[in-house]
Amino acid sequence: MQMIDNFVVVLCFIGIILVGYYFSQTSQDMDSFYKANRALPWSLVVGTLMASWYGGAGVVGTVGYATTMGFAAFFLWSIGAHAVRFPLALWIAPRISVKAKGTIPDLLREHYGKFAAVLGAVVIVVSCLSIGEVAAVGYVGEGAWHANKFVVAAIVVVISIGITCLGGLMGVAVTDMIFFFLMVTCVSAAFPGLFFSVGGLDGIKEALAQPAPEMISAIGGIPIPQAVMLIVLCINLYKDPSFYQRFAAANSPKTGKRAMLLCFSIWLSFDVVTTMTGTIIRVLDPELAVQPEVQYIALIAGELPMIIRGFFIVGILGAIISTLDSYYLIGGEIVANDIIYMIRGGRKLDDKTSIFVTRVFAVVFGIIGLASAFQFDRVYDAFLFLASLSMTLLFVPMIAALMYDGRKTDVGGVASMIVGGAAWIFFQYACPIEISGVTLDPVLIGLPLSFIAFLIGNRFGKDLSAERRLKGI
Amino acid sequence: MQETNKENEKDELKVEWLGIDGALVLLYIVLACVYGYGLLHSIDFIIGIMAPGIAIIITVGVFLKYCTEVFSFASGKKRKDAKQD
Repeated sequence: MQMIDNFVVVLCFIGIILVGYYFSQTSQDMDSFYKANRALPWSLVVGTLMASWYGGAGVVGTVGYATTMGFAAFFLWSIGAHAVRFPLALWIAPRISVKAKGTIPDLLREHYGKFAAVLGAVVIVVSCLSIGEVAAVGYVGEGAWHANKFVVAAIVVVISIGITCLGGLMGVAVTDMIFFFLMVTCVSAAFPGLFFSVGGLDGIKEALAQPAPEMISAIGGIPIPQAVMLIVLCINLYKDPSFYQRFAAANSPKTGKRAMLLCFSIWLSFDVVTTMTGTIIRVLDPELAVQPEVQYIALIAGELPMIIRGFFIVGILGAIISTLDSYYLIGGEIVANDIIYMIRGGRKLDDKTSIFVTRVFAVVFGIIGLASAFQFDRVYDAFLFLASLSMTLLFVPMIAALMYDGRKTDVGGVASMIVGGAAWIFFQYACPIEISGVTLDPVLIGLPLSFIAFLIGNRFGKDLSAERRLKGI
Repeated sequence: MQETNKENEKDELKVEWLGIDGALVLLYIVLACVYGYGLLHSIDFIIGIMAPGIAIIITVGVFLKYCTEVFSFASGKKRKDAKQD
């Protein structure tokens, strides 16, 4: 990185903070701060969905995984992952837009009562710490400047907190759009040069034929049980609070649906770029002597001309910032409007106090995330750990609340969450199951057990549908 | 009134398979097939040029669409303010 690149990076981040400051003038009440007045247009929803989902784990982490998976990372991980998410876009997103009045714990409270809402709130708040994203910042810092991981992560966390505290959802969405543009265009623009420098696909296949032949076949890089597990895990998006918030904030049910449908095509094309870049890194370093995530940043930065290189680093760091600020906002919102609301016995905070509490907790999340991020060896390990536990707890009750209009009781909701979570912990730590040498992810056992517990629990307890009808939900 | 709301809600939730929704689903399927074919048959153009090109074109298109929306909103607001003055 040259002086001019660093200047571009600093200038861009000053601009981003100013955008956040501009929106702090307009986001004074709860609806504008948390839901952007439910007025996000289609283009902004595309940008914010893309940037929030493809954070550090999504870009840098995918490259890291592709260095061992090869082509299978595209055929199984990418195509499979997006394919299982189509129902979310087609049927669930419009329902969230119609039905969602608040947060995910709010939805759980309306359908299953207070206890389910508290459980849901705690799990979401923990996942909002975004430890994997903070860890990813370290790799970018190391690759771009050979800088101390912790210092770069601290700077990025401070910027993320700044955007969250200033602009609320509208500020986050607009900065997401800028980061989305920089990330996709810079990462994609650098790819052709890199791809043809190793001789294209023939060069890649020839180079990997000896050291890692499994990487150049469609499913060879991943054992089948692991492939099934990865695809099933991709439904974690169904309970992702940032998607829930975006769909709820879209200006119509069709907006969220069509924004996400277009995102699938962008993601797929972008995945070709990131997974192939990972494969090229393996060609250049067959023994993987250098951390692939760090090498990726250094390689792309070396490929791009100056100034554009600065924009690339802004795009990559921006992808991480846009994920962090989204989750800090959601975590703060849940603390202020769900956890404190329930502690106060169902009394809401006024708009100003609620926004103040959200800002305070955005800072708290940043500090905790920073303190714990570098305890994990790989970015994705941290990401999958949190995603797995929260999925077994939230998936069944959330989907039932959104898609099933029949009888739903408090016992059913709580039972599905407790059984799902307990099964995950049991099969993760006490009794891991192995199939063909691959340890089965406890989510695959936890989810069906959670569903069975929901069906049985639904026969008992109180059905809250009459109360919902009275409230007009 | 309630029935009209329910009708509107139903309309909003409906998937238009022969409209934009179907076209966007089809776009994904076509791209998945083309990229997969390119990888398996070593077609450098598809992987090295087309995939990053499509990612850039859609991204720039969405970004420009947002910019025009912001611009038309800002110019519309200015005109409204001028009328009020």
